[in-house]
Amino acid sequence: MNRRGLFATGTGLAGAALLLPSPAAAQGTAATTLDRILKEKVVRIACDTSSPPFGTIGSGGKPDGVEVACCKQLAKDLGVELDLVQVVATQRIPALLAGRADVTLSSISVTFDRAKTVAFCNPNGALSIVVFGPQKTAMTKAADMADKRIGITRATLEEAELPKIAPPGARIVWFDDISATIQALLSGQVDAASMSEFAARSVMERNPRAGIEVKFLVRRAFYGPIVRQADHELRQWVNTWIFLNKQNGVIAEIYTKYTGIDLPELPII
Amino acid sequence: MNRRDLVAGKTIAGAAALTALAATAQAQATAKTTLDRILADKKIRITAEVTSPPFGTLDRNGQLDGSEIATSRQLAKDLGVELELVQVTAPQRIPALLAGRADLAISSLSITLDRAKTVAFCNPHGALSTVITAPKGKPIAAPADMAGKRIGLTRGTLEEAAVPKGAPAGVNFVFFDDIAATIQALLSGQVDGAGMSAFAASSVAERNPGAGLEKKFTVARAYYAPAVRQADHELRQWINTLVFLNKQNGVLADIYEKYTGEKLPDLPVI
Repeated sequence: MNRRGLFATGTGLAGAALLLPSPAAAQGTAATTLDRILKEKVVRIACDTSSPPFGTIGSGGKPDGVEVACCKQLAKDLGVELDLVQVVATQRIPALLAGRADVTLSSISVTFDRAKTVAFCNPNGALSIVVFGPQKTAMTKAADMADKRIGITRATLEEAELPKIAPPGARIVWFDDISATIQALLSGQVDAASMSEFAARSVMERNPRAGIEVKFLVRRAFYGPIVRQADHELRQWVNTWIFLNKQNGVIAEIYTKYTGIDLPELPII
Repeated sequence: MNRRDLVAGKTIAGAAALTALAATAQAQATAKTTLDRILADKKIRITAEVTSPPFGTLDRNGQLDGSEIATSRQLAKDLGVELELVQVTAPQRIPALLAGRADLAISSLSITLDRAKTVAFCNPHGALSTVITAPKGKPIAAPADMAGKRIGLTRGTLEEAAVPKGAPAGVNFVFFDDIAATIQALLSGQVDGAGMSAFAASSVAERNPGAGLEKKFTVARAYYAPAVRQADHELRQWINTLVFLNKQNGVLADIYEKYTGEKLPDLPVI
């Protein structure tokens, strides 16, 4: 059986394609963002590096984490250099819309509001939102938040989700970044805080004497890379990237390495 | 989201929406999509690569046949247009599409990231599995069981790349220049087992019932899909709908089984 054709690597095909007018030129349209990335051999990916385990600054001062590792894998698979655009959480979408990044790959949960301004690729991971706090805070369910001060971080999924299940009398306190939320929890400024299960686990591990525990699960959400709405071609490539790296187990390996838990089955949009 | 950013985002979105509206109106006034043109011409041009059995072949009468040809015929029928098969060599499958000689490539194109840089893949409509096949008496149920065994592989194939990757230490790989030599070594007992496509393994087992060959395990599975030009969103959407419906009604599975002798595995979507 001749299967050379089926399994010919892209090399020969890409070589042949170079001799042809680019698809964009052939179709008489402007170069797409994907075309530009391939031409310039650099992809700019925005990622928040203050949100462990998704994006962190590692021991050598270098960005690390699940999403940083995914950014590196994506650039490698695309065969281009990675320009990691480090942003704060609130700038993840503005940086993309302003053209400072081509993609944002930064644990962006799929939400209706975000989908009004950007296009989500298929999910590359999942996160669970929990409420956690010191043992002295008596809390096992959402209703127990009444009369308690609960810290949450702006521009996060918990900011969208927690108020929905908060009973009357719950006092939600907003912080601009997650380190401020954590500080408020450790100092007793709030009785509990809401964040991802991974972030909560990391806080607990780093502060064993604080006696912090997970109180209850708020919800599980899926997150995915985002592109500008007009960038259909780039979105399609990223979706193909996710498809193949789900099949070969690479996305699951990265996820487990940084979160310590198995990647759940990822649905598609 | 930070309030200011949300507002800024809305402003940008608002401006973008006005621009997009103007652009859409203009596009609709001047440019037809590839899908529009196919429907107006009542003809779709699809690549046909005929040197890759069981996907694309020439039958005894010189007629095009194979699972991908059958899929192309089904597609044109479902679209309600005439089919023009554009015969290409394997390396010309994508260039023919990009050059506009075909509207669509359906030629067992496995999904790869390099290919996705120049074309857009629709959702997969078929799969190719690499398996280890061996006589029933050989205790090889998992990759680890290959340790200490002689495993035949054919050079220049997917199995040559895929099987050693997941193999334990101590496997004695024996390489052959073509699949006929690999099969001969398997039948003569020169090797304990061999890696090949699931189709080839079925075919060898059927032709040599006395050898008692069986598939031991699947090493790797690659999915293949129709490909369109990246800008042809409307055509891709129609084809994804076709793949969806023909998965539901069993037509894709029937075609696959008829030509490959294999059950169609569950097909994921991109």
